Amino acid sequence: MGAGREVAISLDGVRDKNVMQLKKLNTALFPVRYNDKYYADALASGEFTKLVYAIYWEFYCWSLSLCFSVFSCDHWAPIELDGLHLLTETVEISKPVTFWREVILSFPSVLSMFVMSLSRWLHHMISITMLHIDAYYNDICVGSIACRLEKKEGGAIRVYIMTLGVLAPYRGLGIGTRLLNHVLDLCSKQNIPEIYLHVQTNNEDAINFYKKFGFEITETIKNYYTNIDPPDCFVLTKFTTPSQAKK
Amino acid sequence: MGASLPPKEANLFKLIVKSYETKQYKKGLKAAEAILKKFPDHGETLSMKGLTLNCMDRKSEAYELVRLGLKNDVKSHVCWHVYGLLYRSDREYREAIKCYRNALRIDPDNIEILRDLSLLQAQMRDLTGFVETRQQLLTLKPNHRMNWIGFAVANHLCSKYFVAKAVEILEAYEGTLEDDYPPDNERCEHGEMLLYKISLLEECGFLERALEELHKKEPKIVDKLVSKEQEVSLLVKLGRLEEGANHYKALLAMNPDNYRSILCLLCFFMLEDSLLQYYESLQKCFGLYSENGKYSSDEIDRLDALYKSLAEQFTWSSAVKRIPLDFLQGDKFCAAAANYIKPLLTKGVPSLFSDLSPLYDQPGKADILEQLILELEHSISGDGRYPDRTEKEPPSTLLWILFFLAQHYDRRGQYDIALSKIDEAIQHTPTVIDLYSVKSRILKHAGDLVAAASLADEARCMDLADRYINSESVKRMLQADQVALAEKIAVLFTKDGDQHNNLHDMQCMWYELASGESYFRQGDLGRALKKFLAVEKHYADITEDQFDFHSYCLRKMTLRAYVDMLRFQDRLHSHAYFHKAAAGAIRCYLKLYDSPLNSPAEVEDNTSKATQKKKMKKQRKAERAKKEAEEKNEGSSASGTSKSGKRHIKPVDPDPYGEKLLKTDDPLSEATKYLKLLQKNSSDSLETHLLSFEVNMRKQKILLAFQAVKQLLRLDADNPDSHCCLIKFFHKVSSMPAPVSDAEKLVWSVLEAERPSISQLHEKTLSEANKIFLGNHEDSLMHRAAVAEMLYTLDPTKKLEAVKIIEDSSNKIVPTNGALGSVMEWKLKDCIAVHKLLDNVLIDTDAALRWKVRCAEYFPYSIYFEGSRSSAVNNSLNNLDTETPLNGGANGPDIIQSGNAFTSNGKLEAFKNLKI
Repeated sequence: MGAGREVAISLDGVRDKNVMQLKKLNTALFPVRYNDKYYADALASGEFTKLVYAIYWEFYCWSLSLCFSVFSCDHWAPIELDGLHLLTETVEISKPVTFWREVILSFPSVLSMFVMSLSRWLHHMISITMLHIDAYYNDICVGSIACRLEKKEGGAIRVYIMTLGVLAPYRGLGIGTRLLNHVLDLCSKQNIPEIYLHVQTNNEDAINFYKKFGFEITETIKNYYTNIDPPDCFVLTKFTTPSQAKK
Repeated sequence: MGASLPPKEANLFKLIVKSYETKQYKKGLKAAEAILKKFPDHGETLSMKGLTLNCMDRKSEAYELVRLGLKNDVKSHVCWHVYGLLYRSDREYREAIKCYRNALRIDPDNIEILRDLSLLQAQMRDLTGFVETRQQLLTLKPNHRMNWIGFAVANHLCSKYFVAKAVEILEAYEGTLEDDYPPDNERCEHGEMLLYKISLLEECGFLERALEELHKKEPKIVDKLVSKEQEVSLLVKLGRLEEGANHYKALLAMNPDNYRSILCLLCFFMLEDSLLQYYESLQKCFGLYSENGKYSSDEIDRLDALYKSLAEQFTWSSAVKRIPLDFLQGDKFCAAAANYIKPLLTKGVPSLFSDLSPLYDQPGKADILEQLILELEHSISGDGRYPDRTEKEPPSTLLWILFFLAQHYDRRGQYDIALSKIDEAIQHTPTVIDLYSVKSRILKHAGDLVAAASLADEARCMDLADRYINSESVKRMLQADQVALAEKIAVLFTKDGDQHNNLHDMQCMWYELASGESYFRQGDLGRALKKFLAVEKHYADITEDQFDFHSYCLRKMTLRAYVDMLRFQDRLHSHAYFHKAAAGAIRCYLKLYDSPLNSPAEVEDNTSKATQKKKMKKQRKAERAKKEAEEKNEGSSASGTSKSGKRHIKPVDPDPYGEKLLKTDDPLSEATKYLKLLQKNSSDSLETHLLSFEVNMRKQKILLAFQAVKQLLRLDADNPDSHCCLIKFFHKVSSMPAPVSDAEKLVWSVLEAERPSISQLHEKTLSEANKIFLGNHEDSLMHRAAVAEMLYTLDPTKKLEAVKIIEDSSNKIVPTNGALGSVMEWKLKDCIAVHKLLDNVLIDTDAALRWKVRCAEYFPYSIYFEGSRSSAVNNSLNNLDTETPLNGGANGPDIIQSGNAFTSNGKLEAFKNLKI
C-alpha cells in the first residue's frame, strides 16, 4: 500500500568504549582541539551527551489492517520492548499509512526487534508479507551533542553545551534539531533552568539555529579563541523557567 | 570380579568399582586400602587402586600399582582391563587395544570390555577389528538398539562392499520393532536412522528402493527438509527430472536464498533442454558454475530467462540477482550488475566488494564494474541521484561508492588511487570504522606494514568492544613484527588476562601462526617453533576429540553426521592451517640445521659480552618466572586438593621461549616427522615437495630428494622453484664422489636410468637446460631470477652474467581499460625475493642497492625498499610536522599514543580559564 525511504535517527550514549567516535567527529567538525577534561566531562554528563546515528531504510506496507491481527493477539503483551507496548494500546484496525510511518519512525532502534517479534509470532499471522521492512542498515555515526553539567554558586545546576555538530553531508535532515531537542527535553524533565553555550561571532547559521529554539545572546566575550579569527564569541543562553532563572 | 575374596572384602571391592564409576575416588581409595590390609597381594584390588590413583593425578604410582596387580594375577580380565583403561587415559591406544585383547582372551564375552575395545578400534580406524567386535556385541546382546546400529555402521565404514550388508542389518533391526514404534520421545532418533538407511541405499545404487523406502517411511521422518532434499537427489539420479524440478521449486519457496537449491534447479533447466545423461550433466552444470565463460551464448540467454522468471517469483531473494552476474557477459552483465549493486550501495553494505570480488577473476568484468561505479560516483556527486532516477539518494551512498572504489583499485594494484579514494571517504564520514580497516589493508598490500598496523589500531580504538577489529589489528601488528604490542592488544579480549594459555586453550590458530611467522622473520627460532608446534598440537587434539563421539553418536543416532565427522577427521591434516604450521616448523628446523646454535664454548669466543649479558638476563628472567609460576602452582594445588579432588591447575609452560626445542640434536629428523604428515595429506602442494627436497638434500637422501624433484616436475614443471630444484639436484649429484658401496652403486644406477625420462634434461647439459628455461620464460621476473641463481650455482664465475639477467628484466604495464592510472606487472613480494637473492645468494651489494632504488620507485609505499611514501621514510617528517593530524592519517609506529593526536593546542586553555 505504501513504500518510502526514510532517514531515521537513533541516539546512543558515549562510553569509554566508543569515545573515539566523538573524537573523530570533533576532529572533523571543529577548528578547536579538545583536551581530556572535555571528554571526561562529556562522559560524566551521562544522558546529556549523545552520538547520533543515521539509519536509512525502506519500508513497504501492505494490507495494514492485517497487521493488527498480530499486534492484538494475546501473546503480544509479554514481549518487553521499549515503546512497542504503545502499539498494543493505540492501534486501531484501520489506521492510515501515515500512522504506521509515524510508529516505525519513532522507534527506529526497536525496528530489528520488531521484525524479530513478527517472526516469533508468525503462527498467529494470516500472511507473512504484510509488513516488510527492507533493512535496517548500517547505521553511521553522523553527529553528536556534548554537554557539561555545572554547579552554580548556591547549588543550582546549569547545562553548558560544549559541542553540537553534524557531519557536513548529513546536514539539513533535522538531525541537529533532534539532538538539541533531546537536551532541552532532558532539562525540562530535570528542572534545569539554564542552558548556555558559546558561538563564534561570525557563525550566523549557528546563531539563527539556536535563536529558533529560544536562545538569546546574553554576553559577548572578546578574545575568547586564540587561534581562529574572529577571536570573539557570543554567549547564548536559554532560560526554561524565567522565575527560577532570576534567583 | 573380586571372586577370590571373602564376602566382606568382595563387597568392598564392588564399592571400589562403584566409587570409581561415580568419581568418588577418595572413597574408593579407602576401600582398596581396607582390602589390601588383609590381602596385600590381591591383584585386582591393586589394579583398581592404581586406576583410582590415576584419576587423582598420581600417574607414576598408578602405573606401578597396575603393573604389580597384573603380575600378581595375570589370569584376571579385570587386571588387563584396568591396564587398558590406564593406557587409554594416556592416549596410548595401540597398547590399550593389546590389553583389551588379552582381557578378552580370558573372558571372551565381557560386554564392557568389548564395548571399550570397539571404541578404540573406531578411533584407530582398525575397521575389520571394529566389525568383528561389533558383531560379537550384537550376538551377545541382540535386544540392544545400539548394538544393531553399531554393527551396521561398522560395516558401512569398513568397506564399500559391506554397505549392502549394513542395509540388511538395519532392516533386520527394523524387523524386531513393533508396528507402533517409535514412541514419541524417540521419533527423532528413529527418523535419523531411517534417513541413514536411505542414504546407504543410495550409496550402493539401489535408487528405486531408496525412493520407495523414503516414500513409505516419510511420516516417520522428522527432518522434513533433509528428507525433501534426499528425495530430489534420488529423483535426479533416477532421471525423473520433471518431478525433481517441481520439488526443487518447492525447496526454493522454503528458502529463496539457498544457493544449493537454485543451482540444482539450474541443473534441471539445463537437463531438460540438452537431454544429456543426467549425471554427467549434473557435473557439467556445477563445473560450469565454477569455471565461467564456458556457456554458449544460447545457454546464457536461457539461463538469463530462467533467472528473470525466478526473480519475479522471489522478489526478496538476493541470490537470484547475484548468481546471474557469474555467467552474464558484456552489456547484459553491466545492466544486471547495476541492478544488483545500486540498492546495496544505497543500503550501505560493507561486504559488497567481497561479494563481487570473485568476478574480478573473469576477464573484462572488472573494467565494466569500474566504469559502472565511476558513472554512479559522477552522478551522485553531481546532483545526489543515480543516473535516470528522480529520487535523491541518502548522503551515505557517496560514501559507500568511494568505499567500493577504494577496494576496487586496491584489488587492481593501483594503490595510489585506492588511497585517494579511501581518504576521500574518510573525509566524507570519518566515523565509519570499515574505512580505516580498508585503508589499513590497502597500505598492507602496498607494502607499508607499519602504517597498516597503525591504521588498524586506529580502527580498533573506535570501538573497543569489537573483537573482530581487535583481532584484525593484532594481525596487522604481527605482520609488522610488533609482537609485544600485538600480545598486549590481543590480551584485551582474553578471559583472565593470562593470554598465552588462554589463546592456546581457545585454539586460536591464526594468532599462533601469525606470531610464529613473525618470530621466524625476526630470527627467534625457539619461539617460532613453539607457536608452530602449538598449532600442530591443536590438530592432534582435534583428532583426539572425536573419541567421545564414537559412543555418543551411536546412542543419539546422529549417524549421518557421525560418518561425515569420521570422514572429515580422516583428512583433517590436509587443512590449510596445519599445512602452514607444519611448513613453518620444517623451515625453522632447516634454519636450525644450517646455522646451529653455538655451543657454550663458542659463545664465549664469538659473542660480545653485551649479548651474553642480555642472554643471561633473559635466562634469569625465565627462571624467575618459572619459580613464580611454580609457587603459584603449589599454592593453588594446596587449596585445590582440599576440594573434593577436583582441581584446576594451569599447567605451567616450562619452556616459554622454546629454548629446549632449539636444543634438539637432530633437527632434520624432527622436520621429517612433520614432512611425512605433509606428504601424506597435502601431496598436491608444491611447497610440500620443495620442503621435502630441502630436507632430504641435507640428509643426503638422494633418492628421496629425487622423488621430490619428480613430484615438483609433475605438479608444475614451469615453476621457477621446480626448475631450481631440478638443476640443484643434478648439479649436486654430479659433484659427488664416485660410488663405492653397493648401496651407493644402486642409487647411481637408479638415477642413470631415470635421467633420460626427464624431458628437460634429455641429452642436454645442465647449463643448456638452464638456458632453454630462460628462453621459454623470458618475460617473467621470477623465472629470470631462478635462471640467474642457477647460472651462478653451476658456475660461480658467471656472477656478473647472472646479475645482468636479473637487471635486464623489465617491468611492463598490464593492459587495462581502466580509466585511471596503470598497473605494473611485478609484484612486491617477488621483487623483495629478488632483492634477497642479489643480497644474500649472489652477494653483490651494489646490484642489490641498484635493485632497491629501482623498486622503491615502483613501490613508493614499501617499507622494505624504503619507498618515498612509506612510513619508514616519513617518520622523521611526521615528527617535525606540527600540523594537526587528520583523521585516518597514519602517524608512523607510535600508534599506542594515537590518543595524543587530540592534545590541546593552546585553545583549550582559554576555554578553561573562562569557565571558572
